[in-house]
Amino acid sequence: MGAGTRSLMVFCLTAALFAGNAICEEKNFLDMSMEEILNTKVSIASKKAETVSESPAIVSVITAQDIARLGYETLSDVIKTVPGVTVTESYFGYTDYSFRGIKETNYNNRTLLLVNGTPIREATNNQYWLELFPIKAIERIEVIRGPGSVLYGSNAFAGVINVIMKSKVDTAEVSVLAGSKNLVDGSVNFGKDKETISYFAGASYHKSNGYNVSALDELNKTQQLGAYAKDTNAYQNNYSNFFGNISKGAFSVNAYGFDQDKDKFGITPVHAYTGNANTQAGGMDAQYKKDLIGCEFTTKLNYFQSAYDGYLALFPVSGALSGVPMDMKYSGSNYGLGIDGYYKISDRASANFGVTYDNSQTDPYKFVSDDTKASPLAYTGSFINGEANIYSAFLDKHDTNDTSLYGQLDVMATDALRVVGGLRYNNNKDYGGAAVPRISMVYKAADKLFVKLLYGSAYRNPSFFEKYVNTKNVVYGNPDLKPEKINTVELGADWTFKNTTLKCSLYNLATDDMINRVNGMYGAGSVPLVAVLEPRGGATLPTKSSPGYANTTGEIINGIEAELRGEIYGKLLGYSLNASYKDGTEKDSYLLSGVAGSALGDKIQYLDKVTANVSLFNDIGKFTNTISASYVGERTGNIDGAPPAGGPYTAGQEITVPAFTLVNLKSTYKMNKNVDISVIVMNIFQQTVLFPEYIRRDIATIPGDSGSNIYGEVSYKF
Amino acid sequence: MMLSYGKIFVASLLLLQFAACNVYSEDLLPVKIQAALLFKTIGYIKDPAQVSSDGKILIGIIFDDNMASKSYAKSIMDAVLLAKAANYKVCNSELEPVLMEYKNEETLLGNFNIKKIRVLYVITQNEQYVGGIIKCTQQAKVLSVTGLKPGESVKKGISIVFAMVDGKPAVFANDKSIQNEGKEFTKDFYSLVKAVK
Repeated sequence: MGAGTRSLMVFCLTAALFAGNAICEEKNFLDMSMEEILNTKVSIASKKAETVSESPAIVSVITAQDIARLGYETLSDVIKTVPGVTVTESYFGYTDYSFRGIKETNYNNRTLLLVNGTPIREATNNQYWLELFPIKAIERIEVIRGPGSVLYGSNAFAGVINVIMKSKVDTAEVSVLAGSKNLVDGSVNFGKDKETISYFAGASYHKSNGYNVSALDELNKTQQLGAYAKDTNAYQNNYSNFFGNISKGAFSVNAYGFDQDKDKFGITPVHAYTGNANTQAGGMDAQYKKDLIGCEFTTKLNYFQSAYDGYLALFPVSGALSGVPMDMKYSGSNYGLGIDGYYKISDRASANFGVTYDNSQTDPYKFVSDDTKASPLAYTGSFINGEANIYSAFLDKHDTNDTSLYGQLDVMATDALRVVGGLRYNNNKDYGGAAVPRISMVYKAADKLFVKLLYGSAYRNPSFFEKYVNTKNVVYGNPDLKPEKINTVELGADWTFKNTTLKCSLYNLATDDMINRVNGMYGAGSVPLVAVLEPRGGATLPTKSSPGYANTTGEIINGIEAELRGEIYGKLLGYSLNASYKDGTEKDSYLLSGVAGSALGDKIQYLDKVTANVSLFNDIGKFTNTISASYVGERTGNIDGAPPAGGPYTAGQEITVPAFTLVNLKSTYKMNKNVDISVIVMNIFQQTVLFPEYIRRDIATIPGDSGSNIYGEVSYKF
Repeated sequence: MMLSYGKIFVASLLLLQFAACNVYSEDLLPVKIQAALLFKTIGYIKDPAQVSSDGKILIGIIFDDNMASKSYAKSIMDAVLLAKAANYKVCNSELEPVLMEYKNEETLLGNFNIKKIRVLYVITQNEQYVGGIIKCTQQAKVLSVTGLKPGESVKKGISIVFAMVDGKPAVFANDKSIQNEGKEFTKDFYSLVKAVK
């Protein structure tokens, strides 16, 4: 038995003794709204009820009703309404979700997506996509801000998004949305809840021409793309997806998948970039619940597969066309097995424990020159058509696995004080064993006032891409990477009075060994920040100063978040307001890559210090109206040490990305019991939206959609 | 370490999959939650006059000749009485529970008329009795509600059923039965419940 397992057993036994005997906490359901009662978790084994208010975490819940009221047609738009969460577009075609100022790595892998509690980690980058599910097939979304590795393992780093899909429901619904930018979005949901078997299926199709690049700034290089531009419809985002569920008694199976064709057409004074990314991914999971020896067990089995095929072309700021048109392909699969157990120790103590095994297999990372556009120019000979990149450490399939054992104890220490402690021991094939702890205290200060003090730790294992994939002179993997870590302390309060709920949280987070793309890390003329990569697989050292992945230092961020929801004037007007403020520092003074002695101080680059969201809605007769607004404050950063020659930027130049406020309207008319008709106007004040380019930092901003969009929607319920 | 983990994992899987199999059954919601959901549900009725009379909402709680049924009905009544004691009101009306044993349709209809009952909480799993009760609720325009056997109850025509689904409370609403019992709910209600047609 290893040290981690022993620690876990000792922890559980100690806590069980501590539990003693007392009465279970009473709740006053009469003062709760119907929605709150329906969101109360009731454990079958303990019959103990738990609401979001008293849960040992900082949680925001977005219901299907919230989504319908806001009128957003993508899940990305919905997620950005969570306090402290911002959404950023990158010019590599990825949409990133940043929690509490912790930016994504370009792929979404510092937060974890769960579907009905099952984690999704794509094999190559451990990423997820929010387009994976039909938005109208979602019952609710639980967003946990803060670390969640004790229960969910790697990648539950800055937050967890748990998407609960519809199931066991009688429904038949069709809806079609169409409008600006030739957007067409259709969805179908069908479900039957029978005594013997229940099934649900939902699918959607989303097609948009994207937004007009001519309305954006920094367009002076459009013409450079010329024949290399694969699609003139910039920022096009087309996808189709499905979700299905079958439940029979204690057994349930989910299946889901999506096919996305996303075009990016970034135009900057430094680079001109065009890209087309096609991603296909899908998975399924099965769960079986059983009561055995006094425990409630859930056995889980899941499988996920994905494939990416992207077209890339990068161009210098000036001079003749000399791009690198090529296709980049990667794919992989994962499967996982797990058993989760729940045991009621006494009236005031319960334990949750489990074991998981995850296997991840990555196919060779391929680069294929695009013969249809032009011959590869600058890097002729670096890529082999249809073959694995010779500079990659893995020319064949690579697989890794992860085994975990976790336990969590939930104890009512006094009638008003609840203590939840947990520990996860993880053994990874590549990184060995490590333990992450969590301890939470929830104190019932008054009838409906809960005060929470939470401490949690989490980790993220380096992805296959960060460790092993080398693209000559573009970016180099680093096999010596170690997992990055985070420790968070949170103080939260949750108070319900009359028809109003107020939630506040203060937090302090500290990251360590953050894995970042460091410009000029390898090669001639650079200032190596870590040991220079050894050539392998027949590769040679980089011939020019090239970026690579490295464990850099960490950052410390302090923040405050507040959320207020309620109804006034006797349910005539409902409102939801939230705001967050954060500030922080890098632990060490930041050096411009490749520029010796160029200390920039300890400023966190492009930190989104202030964010806020407001939505107001009312029901008047057959009309439901919503007005919502999202604000993202100013962000500042610096151009990195080696901006491409010929561009307008200098090393260290400060860039300010302006604040913006998006105001949206939705009005729904209930024509009859079957038909709803809606009109949606997004960004009515035509605010200019710019995102910081925080990954490479050799350019300033990525343009966002800055025009108004008007849509009409018709839904029919059978 | 890996070997011992692997053994534990495989053994656990085998233990679970090959253990004697009990049929999974949906558990009942705690009585307090059932009672709270009942009050909240009544609050979503469009016209309070459909359930309230003289500032009171009389809630019939009907059980059968089974001891367990009677005992359970009493616990529901206690929950309603507790709410009443706390001066909890729905649609500005007081709550008044009335405990009744099912005898036959005629007696039940008589009780509805005499006691002005407009909401009936059904605590019986006897299929024959449930059939008779529903006939009466539809005839007397009384809203039928239960927390028992959700799937079956809702199909047999009980208008509102409370159940536990995936560890959370859920409300099923049989739209046709609601209409037959002469009740109309707000659209907010339908956005929260699972509608059954």
